[in-house]
Amino acid sequence: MNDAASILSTIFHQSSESEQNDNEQFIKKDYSIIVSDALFNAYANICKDFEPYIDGETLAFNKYIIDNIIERCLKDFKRISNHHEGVKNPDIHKTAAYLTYWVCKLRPIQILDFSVYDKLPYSKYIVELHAVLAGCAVINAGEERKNGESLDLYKLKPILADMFYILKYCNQNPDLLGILYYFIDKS
Amino acid sequence: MSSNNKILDFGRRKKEVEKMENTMIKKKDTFIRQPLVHEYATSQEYAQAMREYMQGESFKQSNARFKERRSNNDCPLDGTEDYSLKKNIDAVGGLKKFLDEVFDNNE
Repeated sequence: MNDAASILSTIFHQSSESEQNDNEQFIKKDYSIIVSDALFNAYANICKDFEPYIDGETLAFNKYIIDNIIERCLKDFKRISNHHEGVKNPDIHKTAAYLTYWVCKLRPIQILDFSVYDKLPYSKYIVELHAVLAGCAVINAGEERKNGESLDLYKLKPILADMFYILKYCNQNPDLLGILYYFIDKS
Repeated sequence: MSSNNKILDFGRRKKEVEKMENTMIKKKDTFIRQPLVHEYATSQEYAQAMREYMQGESFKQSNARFKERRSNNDCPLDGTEDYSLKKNIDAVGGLKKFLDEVFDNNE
């Protein structure tokens, strides 16, 4: 009985230690700051062109959904770090892909007045544009990019229209999106 | 990994998921849910509900947090530190021009 108790206590002690290590490792790389800054910066860059319409009556930007996106992304990163052996921290391409996936799914920029489709030619894909720009921002924010290198939008140009369509109308897999980002980035 | 450790590892993960779910539920309670478009018969009704939601307390709180973050320079919206996005967009001649080119090429 004593043996069993001692074994259990040591194992539980070990598990709590490993839990702490996991948390420390997770906190060390502060994804929440990268992800939220990427989202807001992508939004700020969109605003420069679409500002007159983001007035809360035609198009609205919902910050509560942004909170939700960040929370879901972090939950996914935590799941990847805990459940996938060999992949401790998701890399920049995977982070960008999960962010793109959740932005497209939860749609923080909402169209309230659908007549905007006539006034603004690409307003149909404004959420997808926001998602892709946020993804690019995350890739640019990666630690590997300290030398000033950045993901060129020209690389995205040939596939961007198809990518918008797929992000809007088709089922996506964030891991496959990560691979797509990787190949665009390395091309 | 031994079988014992695997079982305990699973237990630990389950505990973590439960903890996260609890915090999610708590967070949900503090916010008023945003109106969803399919719950309203007409777009005017939805726009009205959305306006009321935006004037509500939860939206104001969220706004206040956002402003605080901005004032603390935690999220630079002025484009000073925007992960090279501005540089990239300037390089392609602005978003509008870039999108024009993308969709023209596609057609």
